[in-house]
Amino acid sequence: MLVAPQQASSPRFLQLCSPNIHKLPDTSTNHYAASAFKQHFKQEIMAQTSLMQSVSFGNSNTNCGNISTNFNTFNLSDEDARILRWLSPLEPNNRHQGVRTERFDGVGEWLLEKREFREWRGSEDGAGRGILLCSGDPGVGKTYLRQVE
Amino acid sequence: MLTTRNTSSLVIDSLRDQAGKDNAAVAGLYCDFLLQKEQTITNVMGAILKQLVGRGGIPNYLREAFQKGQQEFGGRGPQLVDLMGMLQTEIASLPQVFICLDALDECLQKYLPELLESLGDIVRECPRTKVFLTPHREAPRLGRCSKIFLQGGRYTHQP
Repeated sequence: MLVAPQQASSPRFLQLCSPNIHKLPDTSTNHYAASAFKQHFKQEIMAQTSLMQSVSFGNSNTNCGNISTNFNTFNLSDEDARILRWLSPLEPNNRHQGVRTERFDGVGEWLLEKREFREWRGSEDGAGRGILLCSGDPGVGKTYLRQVE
Repeated sequence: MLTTRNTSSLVIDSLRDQAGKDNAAVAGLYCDFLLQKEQTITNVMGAILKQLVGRGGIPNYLREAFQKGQQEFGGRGPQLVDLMGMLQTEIASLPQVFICLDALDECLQKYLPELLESLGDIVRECPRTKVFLTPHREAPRLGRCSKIFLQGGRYTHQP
């Protein structure tokens, strides 16, 4: 595994933003082997364009009733951010934030109260009844809910 | 179209509110005509996994898969079979998982059968998984692939 210095994410962030980007990292404090250093430096350059983007994901441990706090945005290490980008270029949580800001109040809320929805959501075990289809367009009165066995 | 998104985003938020209490994880994805090329089956499954992992840091199995992919010539993206295995591993570590896919039929038709099949596999293999789908069209019109899991079930008409 590539060992990159993770001990100080904030200073590192500043370092990458500074004009001294080509300055070599202090090898005496980071204890790099030469080959690891070479790899690391390559990774640093590659990370320049992306490190400043924070990656957000749903953090289900956060819940205080305020919907806007359901996501935590935090900076990941280079490699972790690369792993997540490798997993998929899609960023559905960013999209979700966009959709939700354009949401019409009240539209579709009936669904959350439907028995089928509550049963699907609340059942202990999804086995056999794990898929709920809400087909049609909920805005135009042609919506069907179907719990799939 | 807009309103299925409305509904899906409500469902995702509602599930996430509750998930905090139950330690469940919620993955949501909006299929989009405009993103058909990017919304391949592997990218969609990868995006689902991306939303499930991370609370305790990147899990080892994912780090290893990434490193293995990097070692291959030119680097290799995750393959569907690997993603399915990783999804099952991740789901097994969670008390409950919700997967919400909005406007399912906006993804490329050629991906749809495999996508539904993969979701069906996950639900079968991991009973803790619940899937919420909002296709624009009625389910039976999704074509032959809908038969994979459309056995029985109930319809409710919107009041």
